[in-house]
Amino acid sequence: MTVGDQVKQAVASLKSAQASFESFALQTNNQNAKQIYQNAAQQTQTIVQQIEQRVQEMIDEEPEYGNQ
Amino acid sequence: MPTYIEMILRAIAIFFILFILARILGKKQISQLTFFDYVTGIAIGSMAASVAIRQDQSFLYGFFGLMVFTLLSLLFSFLSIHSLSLRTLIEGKPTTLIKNGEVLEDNLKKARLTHADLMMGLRRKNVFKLSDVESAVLETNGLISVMKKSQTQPLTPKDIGLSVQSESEPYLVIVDGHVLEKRLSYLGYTKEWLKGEIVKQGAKEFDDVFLAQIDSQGNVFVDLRKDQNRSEKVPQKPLLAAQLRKVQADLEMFALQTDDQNAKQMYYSQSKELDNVIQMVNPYMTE
Repeated sequence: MTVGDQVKQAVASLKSAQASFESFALQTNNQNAKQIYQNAAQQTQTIVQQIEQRVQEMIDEEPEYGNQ
Repeated sequence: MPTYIEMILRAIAIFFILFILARILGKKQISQLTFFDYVTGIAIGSMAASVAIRQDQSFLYGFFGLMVFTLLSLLFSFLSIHSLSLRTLIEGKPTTLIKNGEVLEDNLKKARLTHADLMMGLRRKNVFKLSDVESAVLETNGLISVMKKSQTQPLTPKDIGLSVQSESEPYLVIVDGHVLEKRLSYLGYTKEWLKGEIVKQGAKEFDDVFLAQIDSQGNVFVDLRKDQNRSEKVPQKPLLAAQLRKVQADLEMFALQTDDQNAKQMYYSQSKELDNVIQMVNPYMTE
């Protein structure tokens, strides 16, 4: 597995984490917890975007990362 | 009317009268019996008993007696709510038995308690060492309340500055296979969602579930009718926490592996950011 694959895997994990946060936010009745989960989902989203940018850069630099 | 039928009727009547009186006098009789309540209760009980079984006693007079005692008892408890001095007169005052860690022998004598009674009261409160006690009070219902010294009180999250999730009352939503739909919709969940949750935990139908309880975070605890078939539930939140920590470690690894300075910076800052997220949600990641 190349580094590119590993980075993509990390992005996938983060996306799943973000989805979990969103579902926890919906499930809970505790307003405080809801807020925390929503914040966590948002921050995770930001991180995902940043790393996805990096993945794109890697593909631009070495196109073989993209075709696997 | 034959005597035995009269006695049966009397007993039945007294049974229900006592039931009604007990309801009127209320919960206080059981939970916080003061000496006065205690004696009143005995008097009412023995009056009722003698009316029920003694033929020579007039039913009506016995009934009056019961009524008068109940009314007086109600009147006194009503008055003692409104007047402090009357309350002290009826119920007495709590007696301090231990103050600042010192046993007050005089008060012990006044309350006619032996040292053994005091020790028993303390032990019932799980205090075996006198040195742990800051103060102890003999309440008017005869029980001893204990305040431990601050260094021997149990550690609470507040003491160590730990932030914990506030939790409100959990609710049962399935009892013996029946979904309590009103409560479920009041809590804002649907039947379909609940079905999904119980299926995750090894049930096929609502009927397979003996009890299900939802806590304020939306976690569902399920107890199945067949105790052996319980499939181990994967704890969702700890799993997510572990997943996040893994990604964070991966990011740091990427940072070490890349030669691109910009990318290195980016990975480090994202790892830091993710660490913040983990710290923030940590108190909420327990099941």
